[in-house]
Amino acid sequence: MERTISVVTEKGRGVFSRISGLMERRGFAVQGVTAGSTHRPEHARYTFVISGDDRTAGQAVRQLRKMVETVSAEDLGESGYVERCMMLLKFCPPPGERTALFEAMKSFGCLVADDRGDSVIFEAMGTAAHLDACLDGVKSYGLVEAVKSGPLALGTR
Amino acid sequence: MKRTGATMVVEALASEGVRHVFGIPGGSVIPLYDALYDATFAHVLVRHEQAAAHCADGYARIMGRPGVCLCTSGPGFTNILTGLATAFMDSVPLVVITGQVATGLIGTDAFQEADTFGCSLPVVKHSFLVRTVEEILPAIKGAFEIASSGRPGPVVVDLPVDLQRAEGDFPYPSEPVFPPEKLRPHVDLARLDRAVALLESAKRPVILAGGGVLAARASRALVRLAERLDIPVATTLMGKGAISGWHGLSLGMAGMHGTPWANLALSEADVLLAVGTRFSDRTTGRLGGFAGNATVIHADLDEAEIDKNVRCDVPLVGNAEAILSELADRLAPQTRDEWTRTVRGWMADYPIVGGGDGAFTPASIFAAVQEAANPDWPVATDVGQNQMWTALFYRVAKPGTFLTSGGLGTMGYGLPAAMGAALASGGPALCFAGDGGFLMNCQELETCARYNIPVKVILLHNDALGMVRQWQELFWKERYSATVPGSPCRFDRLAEALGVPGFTCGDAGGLRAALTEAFALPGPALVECRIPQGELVFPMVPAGATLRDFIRNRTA
Repeated sequence: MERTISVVTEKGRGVFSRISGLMERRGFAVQGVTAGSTHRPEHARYTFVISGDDRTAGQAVRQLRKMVETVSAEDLGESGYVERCMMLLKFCPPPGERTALFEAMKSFGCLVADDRGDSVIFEAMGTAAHLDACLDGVKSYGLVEAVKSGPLALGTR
Repeated sequence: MKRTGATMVVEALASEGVRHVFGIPGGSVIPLYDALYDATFAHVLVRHEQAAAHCADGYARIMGRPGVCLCTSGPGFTNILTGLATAFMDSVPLVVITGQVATGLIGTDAFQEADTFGCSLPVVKHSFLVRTVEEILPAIKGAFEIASSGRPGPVVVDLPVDLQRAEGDFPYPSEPVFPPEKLRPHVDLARLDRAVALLESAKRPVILAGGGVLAARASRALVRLAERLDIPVATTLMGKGAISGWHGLSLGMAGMHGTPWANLALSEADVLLAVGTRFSDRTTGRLGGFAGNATVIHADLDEAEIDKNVRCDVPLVGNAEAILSELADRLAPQTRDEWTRTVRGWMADYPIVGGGDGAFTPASIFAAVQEAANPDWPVATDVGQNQMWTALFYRVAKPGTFLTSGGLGTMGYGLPAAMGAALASGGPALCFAGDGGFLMNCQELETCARYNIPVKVILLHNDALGMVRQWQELFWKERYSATVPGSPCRFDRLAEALGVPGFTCGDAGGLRAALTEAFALPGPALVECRIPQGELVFPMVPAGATLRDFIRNRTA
C-alpha cells in the first residue's frame, strides 16, 4: 500500500539532506519524492510516496515533525488529496507510425513539447497510475527514453 | 564593539552560564583557543575527543543542562562523533563546537577537512554550519535552545577557522533565536481520562519508568503516584534511580538482565503505565510476548515514540512530570495487597544469586563498594558485564546520579562520564568498568591526575571482553573468539604511570583496605579487582525470548 506524505519546511541549507537522510535511515521505503517551493517564498514543500500502512505513515509524519525546520508534516491519505506527476517521453517513431504515435499520445492527454520530425518529445501529466498506463500504452511506438517526476500533492480540505 | 568570531563564541558560552568546557585544540580552532585563554570559565584538556564528548555528557546528566565540548576539524570531529551518537541515543543535551577548514576551502579536500555537517546529521538533534560571522551568535544561542528543549539531544555548531578570526560587531541575541512555541513538543493528553479509568480499575498494574522520567526531573511525581496507588515500579536501564533502590515498591531493572520479579510483573500485569521509555529491544525482549496481558498506557514527550516499538492502547504525549502529577491528583489512594504479595513472592522464589560463599564475586564487590561509598556520589558505568552488574547490584539513592551508555552501548564511556559528573557535582564520582572498556579510554586517567578530578575507578578485571565471552559460553559452544586476550596489563601500575594512585586486590579483605585508602584520597584513584573470568551476568533473557523466559544460572 502506498501513502503520500507532505512536509512543509523552512528553506535553508541542509534541509534536503536532513529530510532525505531521515527517511532513508529510518527505513521508510520511498517510492517517489519531489522537492519544491510554495506560495510562501520562505517555505519548501516535500512530497513523499512511501510503501506502508497507517502505522508506517504515522511514524514517518511524527519523525518528520521533529526536525527543527519542519513547519508541518501530514499524511495526506487521512483527508483526501489531488496528486499529479509529470513525464517527458522521447520517441524516434519508425516510418509510418508517426500518426499512430500522435493519436496514442493524444488519447492519454499528452502534449508535444518538441518536434524535430525524426525525434519527438511529449509531455504528460496526471496521477502516477495514469502515467504508468500511458508509458505502457505507447512504448511500442519507438520510445527512446522517458523520465517521470515524483508526485506533487495537495490535500482537498 | 568589534571583536573576533572566536571572542564572540567565548562570550556566548559565558552568557549561557557555562562553567566547564571539554576539548582538545587543533589547527582549525587555534583562534578559538586563543580566545579561551581569557575565558572566565574553565577549559578541561582531555586526551581524546571521544572523551571530551563523554565528559560533557556526564556533566550534562548531572547538571540537567547542556554540556559543552570542543574539537578541531577532520579527525578531531570524527573522534568526537562516537560521543555525539552516545548522547543522541540517551537524549543528553550537548553543545558541540567543531572547528572547520576556512570557508573558501570547504569541499576541496583540504587538510583535516571532514564533512562535519553531513556526518553528524544521523546522530544529532540538529547541526549548524556557520557561513558568515553574523551567524555565529545566533547559532550558539540556537544550539543551547535546541539541545535543552523538548527531548534533549546533542547539537553541533561547525565553525570555519576564518570566521573565528573575522571581526564583527554583533550583540548576543537577547530574544530566543527559535520561538519557544516552535521548539515546544506537541502535547496530546486527550486520552488522560481513559488512563485514569484504567489505573482505577487495574488489579495488577505496573509502572515502567524510563530515562524520560529522569530527564523531566519527575522522580518525585513518579514515587507519589506509585505510593498513592500502591503500584510496583520497574525501571529501564536508563530509568535506574528514578525510584530509590531501597523503596519498597521498587522492582529494580526490567529487561534482558532485569530482575525476575520486574520481568514477571511486566508479563503478568493487566495495566502497564510506561513513562519516558522508548521500549528498547533490551527492555522488552521478544515484542510478541511483551506485557502480553496488559493494556498499555504509554506516556512520552516524543510523539514519535508512540507505537514505534510497542503498540499502545492509550497514548499520552507530554511532559512526564505533568502527566504523573495529573494522574496522582485525579486518582484516590488504593492498596492492593494481593498483587504486591504476589510480586514479593517472586522476590523470594527467584533470588539473584550473587555469591556469598566467600568467593570474590561481583555481587560481593558491589556490596563492599556500596558500604564504603557515599550514597550521593554519582555512579558511571562502562558497557558490558560491569554495566549490568552495576544495574543489578548497586542501589542508586538519588535520581539522576546513575550514568550509563544505555542506547548506543559505548565501551569507554565510564571514565570520562564520571569525570564530567565529578566536575558537575563538585565531589567524587564512582566509575565501574571492566578491563575491556576501560582500555578504550584509559588515557583519561592522566586528565584526572592533572586536574585532580576525584573519580574513583572500580575496575572489574577478568581479562576478558566478558559480555561477548558470556554469549560465546552460553550460545556459541564456548568458542572464545578474540574475547580472552591473556593481557599482561597491570592496571594499578598503569594508573600510577598516568599519575593516579592505583590499588589491586583479589579478595574481600584486600578490597576493603583498598577502598578505605582510595576513598580517603582527595583526588582520583583506581582499584583493580581481579575477578574470575567465568563470572556471568544472571538473570538473563536470551536474545529473542520473552521476558518471562529468563535463565538464572548456567543450567537453568
